[in-house]
Amino acid sequence: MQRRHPRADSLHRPASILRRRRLTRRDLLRTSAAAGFGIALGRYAAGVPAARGAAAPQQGGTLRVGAVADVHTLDPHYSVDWSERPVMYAIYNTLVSATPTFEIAPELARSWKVSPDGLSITASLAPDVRFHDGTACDAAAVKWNIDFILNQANNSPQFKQLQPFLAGVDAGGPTTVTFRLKKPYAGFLAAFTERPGFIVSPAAYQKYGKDFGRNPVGSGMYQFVEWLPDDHVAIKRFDGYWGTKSYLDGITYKVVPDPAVRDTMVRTAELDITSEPDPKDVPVLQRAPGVKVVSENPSGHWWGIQWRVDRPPFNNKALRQAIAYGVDRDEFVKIMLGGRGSVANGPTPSIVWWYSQPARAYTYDPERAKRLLAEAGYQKGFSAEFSTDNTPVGLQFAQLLQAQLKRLNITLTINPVDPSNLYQQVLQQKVNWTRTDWTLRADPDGLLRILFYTGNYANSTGYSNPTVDKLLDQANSTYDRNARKKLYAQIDQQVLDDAPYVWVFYPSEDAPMRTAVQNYAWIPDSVPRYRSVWLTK
Amino acid sequence: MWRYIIARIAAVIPMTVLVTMAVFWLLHGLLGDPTLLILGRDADPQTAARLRHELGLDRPLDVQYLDWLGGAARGDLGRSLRTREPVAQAIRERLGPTAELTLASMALAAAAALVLGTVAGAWYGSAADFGVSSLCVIGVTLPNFLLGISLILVFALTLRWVPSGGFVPLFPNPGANLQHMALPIVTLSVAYVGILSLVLKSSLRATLGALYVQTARAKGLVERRVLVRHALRNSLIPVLSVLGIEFGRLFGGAVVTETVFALPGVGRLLVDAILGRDFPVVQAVVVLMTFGVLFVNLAVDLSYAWLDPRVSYG
Repeated sequence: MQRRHPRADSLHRPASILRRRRLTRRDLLRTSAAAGFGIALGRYAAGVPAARGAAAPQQGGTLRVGAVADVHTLDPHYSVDWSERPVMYAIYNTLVSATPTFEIAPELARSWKVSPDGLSITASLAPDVRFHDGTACDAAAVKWNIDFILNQANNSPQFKQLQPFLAGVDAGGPTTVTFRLKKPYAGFLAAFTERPGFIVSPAAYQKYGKDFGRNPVGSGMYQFVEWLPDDHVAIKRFDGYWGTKSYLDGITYKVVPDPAVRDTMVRTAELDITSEPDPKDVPVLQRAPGVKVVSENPSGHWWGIQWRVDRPPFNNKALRQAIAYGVDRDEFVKIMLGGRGSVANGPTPSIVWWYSQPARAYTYDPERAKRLLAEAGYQKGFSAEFSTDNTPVGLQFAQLLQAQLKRLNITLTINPVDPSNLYQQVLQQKVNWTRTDWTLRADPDGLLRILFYTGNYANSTGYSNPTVDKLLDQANSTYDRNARKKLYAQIDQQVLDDAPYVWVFYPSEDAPMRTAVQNYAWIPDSVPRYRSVWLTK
Repeated sequence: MWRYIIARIAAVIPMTVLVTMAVFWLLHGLLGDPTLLILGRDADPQTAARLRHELGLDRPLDVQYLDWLGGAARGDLGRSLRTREPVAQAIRERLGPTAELTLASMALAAAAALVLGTVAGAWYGSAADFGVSSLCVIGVTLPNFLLGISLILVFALTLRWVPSGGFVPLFPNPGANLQHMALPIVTLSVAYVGILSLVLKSSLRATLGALYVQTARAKGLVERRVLVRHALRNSLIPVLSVLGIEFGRLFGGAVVTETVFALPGVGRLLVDAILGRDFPVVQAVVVLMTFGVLFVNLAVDLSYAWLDPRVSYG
């Protein structure tokens, strides 16, 4: 299965980009209060996890990565496409980072302290950090970057991720930055593990102007070498790196759009590692000599169906629930994913801290579905149009759903739509019932708020529940993680009951690689990062 | 003849305007504006509206089109909406692989078809004709992506003779370039070998029955000379016509071939631009392709005079 259409990144990934890592706010507060600055979260040094396993890391070698799609820009302030993130995580530092166990760790910000009223957060930056062009990556540079995003005239796609809660930022000294919040916001640091958190060199930005995206200068462990469009991006180790230096001499991201060809190139050792293999190839790759597959299952990327809950026929809760009971999720995992995935029941997978087992979930129950259909006034079934992206996997999803719902006398007419056009048509309400997928963000407020808060810009189902709105507001205004977890459990249960979406499955994330590649770990935002990787000789 | 050439080149201009106009309205009409793709799923309506205004996408379509046309006439193709790089630069960077792929495929197809079509036409009805014709039909019907993947599995994965994909510039490394380009060129040319061979076969068969061929034989020329000097040369005009017409389709095939073999060419740029609603890039590539097809067809027309002295462009 080709997980996503390469060009559909901007639709399916952006949301996705955000799989957040939740900071342990309460712990932070507690620690901050006790010790002021100086939180040290584990053994992370600038986002490089310590090498795991018995073997000692080896130095050297160039990692050849099979990239799914080309980058369009390496300017994080204008980055939208998911394909750009693996490269940006190598070239730039983020203010804080996300770990493979879904925690927030220090990166450029080594520690932070939340004010008692929750309205300002003061971060202490790593000292003596230099960008690749030799200029200082200090508090002034951080302020310049955040100000750039917040300046509406710059039209940064990252604006909307910061503007709702961030009033401004002040540099209090070379290594001290204070963020002024509009209101207490628990998801604050999580935003800086992602695109808004990448810090670029202001001097280089001013020097290159619009061409900065092709001449990126950051402070990361790798520096930019070249980008041959649609062919490759090359980066090399930055010897002046302030943190733990990379094990590799460099990385080459080779663009190979076809999954079958990428898989073959790993087998022929033309590539060292890739992602998004053709699922049919995974068993073959697992058996191939010199190849292994590192997987994450469940992932933080869910697939499901959505509809307009404010328009007929789906403005009928019993009808929505009937369909939710009529979807055989196990069959989806078995047939569509070849078993490489997990069933989804709600917007939160079990791998994140805010997950709670829902008290009431949907299981495949055709009899109950028929009862609910009768209750909804559709005892004889009905016909409706179902829109999906016209990719092989999108159509396969629709056909399987069509077959399953036929058992309930529900007839689906499949409307294939260009993948780059589907979300636009959903927003414009040109289509009602569609396939969809989203990836978690590093804080629960991120995705849950944009999808379920009344009138939010990505609330494309017309969903409105005052209880959910209130719970969302409560949950993001407290820094107490346990309290938040309880609130998000209520929210998950409520939206599950109301069924603006029917969650179907989490496909497994797979990374086929040569056995020489060591220490690769998935982070649940599904963005491959290679900071910790090393190669055996 | 020069007057003919100038007239044909002049005809390119209205043709290009018509093609770009059609593409412009199709793209805007069917796909809508690109701001959502530029800003991502996190775009808020205000930012999208402001960006739409800055890009001039809120103006009437005819104004937008004339603005683009005016720029293009002055040699300014604008900047990509998505990457913000100059469009001319984006195309220039990707022209090499596509030019090599299409021209080499056309040359290979023409050379192979010359041999296969001649064999099938000269020995019409024989086992050789049956074999060649069958192969040609298979070649025409085989989808590019299937053939490409199959060739990779055999020659890259199993035999390890050539790489699975990627591109190395022709200069300064022609050997590595040939290794990388061998499979894509074969993949793209197979369908054209089939078409051109079948056309040549039919044409040759008709020519071999012509009176002047009988005359050549009657005056005692050896059969090889009759075939090559008299029949084959006169059979080539329909083949060249098809070659010119099919050149446009080569670009379509190049898109698929470039994707399968990970070649950084114009075909992939075009698909990416269409899906990203990157109008300036789409328009520029369409202009380039229109020029390419029209000039190849002009060259084909001019070659008629060389092949057949009765044709004149005076």
